Amino acid sequence: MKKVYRSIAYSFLLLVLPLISGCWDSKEVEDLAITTLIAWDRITENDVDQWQVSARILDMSGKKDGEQSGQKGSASEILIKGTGLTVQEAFNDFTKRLPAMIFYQHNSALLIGERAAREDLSIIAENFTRFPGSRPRTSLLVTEGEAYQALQAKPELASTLSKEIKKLTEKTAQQIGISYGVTLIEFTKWIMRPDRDTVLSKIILNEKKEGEETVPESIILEGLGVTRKNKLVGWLNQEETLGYLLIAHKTSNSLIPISAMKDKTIFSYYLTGFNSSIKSKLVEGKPTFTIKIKAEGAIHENNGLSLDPEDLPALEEAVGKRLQEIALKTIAKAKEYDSDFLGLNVKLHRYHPSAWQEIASDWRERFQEADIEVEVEARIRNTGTTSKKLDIPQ
Amino acid sequence: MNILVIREYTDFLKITLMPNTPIWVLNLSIILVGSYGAFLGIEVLARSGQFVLPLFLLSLIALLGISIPEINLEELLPLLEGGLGPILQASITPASWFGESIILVLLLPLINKPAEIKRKGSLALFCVTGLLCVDTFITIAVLGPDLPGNLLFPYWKLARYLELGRAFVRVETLLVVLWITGIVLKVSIIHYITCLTTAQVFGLKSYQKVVLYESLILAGASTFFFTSTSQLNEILGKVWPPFAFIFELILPFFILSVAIVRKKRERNTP
Repeated sequence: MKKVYRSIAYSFLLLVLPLISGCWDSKEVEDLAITTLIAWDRITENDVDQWQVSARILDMSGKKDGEQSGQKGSASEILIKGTGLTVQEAFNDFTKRLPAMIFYQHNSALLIGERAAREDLSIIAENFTRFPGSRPRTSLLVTEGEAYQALQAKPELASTLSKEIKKLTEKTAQQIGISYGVTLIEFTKWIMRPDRDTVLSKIILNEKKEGEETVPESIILEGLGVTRKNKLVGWLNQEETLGYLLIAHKTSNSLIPISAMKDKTIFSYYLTGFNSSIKSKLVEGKPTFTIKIKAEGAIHENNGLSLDPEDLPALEEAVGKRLQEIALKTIAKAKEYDSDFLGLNVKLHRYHPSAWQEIASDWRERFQEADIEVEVEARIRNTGTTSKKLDIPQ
Repeated sequence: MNILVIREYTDFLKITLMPNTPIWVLNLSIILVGSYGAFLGIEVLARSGQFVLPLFLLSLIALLGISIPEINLEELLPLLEGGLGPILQASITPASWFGESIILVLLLPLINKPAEIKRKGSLALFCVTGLLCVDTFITIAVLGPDLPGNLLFPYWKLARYLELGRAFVRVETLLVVLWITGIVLKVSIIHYITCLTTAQVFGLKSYQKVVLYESLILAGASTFFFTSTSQLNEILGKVWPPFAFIFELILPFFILSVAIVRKKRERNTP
């Protein structure tokens, strides 16, 4: 009897044998081509509109390339591109050159070329959300011209370009107020709303200036791309981007210098935090928005201005005027592009649903006529490590 | 119903984690474990429930904790934009899934402290409803009102989105592991109940022999009945609810009324 049991057990073990050779989805790190940055472009090749996909892929071969200069540290990325009628075909086009399968889970950003963004962003948002390998926190960036160009840049301080872009989008951009890091989920959330338009972080190429000791081409995250419905329609420059941040976001951790003028002396206000509250109402069929911005900051660069406690209110007023000017410029731009990327109508929709129902069908036309007021309350919280002024005899 | 549950689980795993693994392997693995649980009986299932529950609660609380900085209460506005109608209409399908808990009634004869079941049972139902509400609340407050409606697995997407600093990222796989333990328990309980009732209906002495046959049915049906995920969704969303309400509302209600009438008559006769 015991023998029978034993033989049954052994035969069962034999049956299990084919299963232990490995599971279907086991992936070895050596067999993966880990993409870190992906760029999607639309191009026309032989009169056929095609997708061009380029990707930065982590080079893990470990070979030291002596000739390639400018490479620091051990990590490096290769850049390849492929074309195809669909995005997946384009991916396949370069995968055939690789001795490994593409692995998307570490992708940190998706760069969208200007043409692709101007044609249709909803497709990109949809495909990228549907795709199981994409992560919701991937940054979405848009470039002027081809996105492939931006991938050719070299990192300046980080070890790889992907790390550089990640740090820029997550931290630097908001902190110094030159752009805003838009993530995939945020963008999809915005583009799906019936009452607003969106922005995308904009990335531009920076050429080395004469005498600088750095890589010849690097990237800057500066400004934003503005969308209307599902298309890219224009750009915001640095100042307008700051206006967008002031109106639509809040932070307590920024380091943004604002130059303002008092008695013909330019001084610098260090904006360290701001938040805004938007009040909306519908007055006789006309949307009216009152935006109150509260700014906090310090003055470290007074350029000879006296910083007596009595002087501060005047300085605060000057700063407030300047910030108001910046915000109004952004609003003018929003009306120019006929795009509510500031999300003002969202407020109306949320807090006055019945008023929104009234204008929902033609809110874009109504937004053109909307009254938008901006009030700024700027506060100077400290004046650095010196009291009013250094007494230097003139 | 068990077939649907198993297939839901398999499709989820196939899409999110293991795209290359054949469906029958995934099905078979969960059916093997589930059948083993059903074979061992109710005590084992109850004990494993005791073990799994804290893990589940922990994961939910942890997820709630990490999502706090991401929660934007404004996303919930405007409340009841289209009135109560759309909400009630949309809740029919989830209600039919939640109504699955009616099968636990079949376990009533096995309870050793029948006096406590009224209080504890309603407490359990109340807690589950609460957890579901919290879960929906977080999803909408983080992902916004429009997106989750179009996602197949909103909660998974949420877990993918959330991260805490640099160290605590990619928690979704951990969540899936916990979730699988829950599903295994669900499968084995339903399996156990089906086998038990089948045995009772046919007057068999032991239900344990039935387990084998029903496992075979499960394996076959969950592998071959469905052709795609969209078909499964169609079945879950449109075919299942009317079917479910017969079993979840009408039938229990009918039995209850029969019981009440009989009791009254019994009282009247003597």
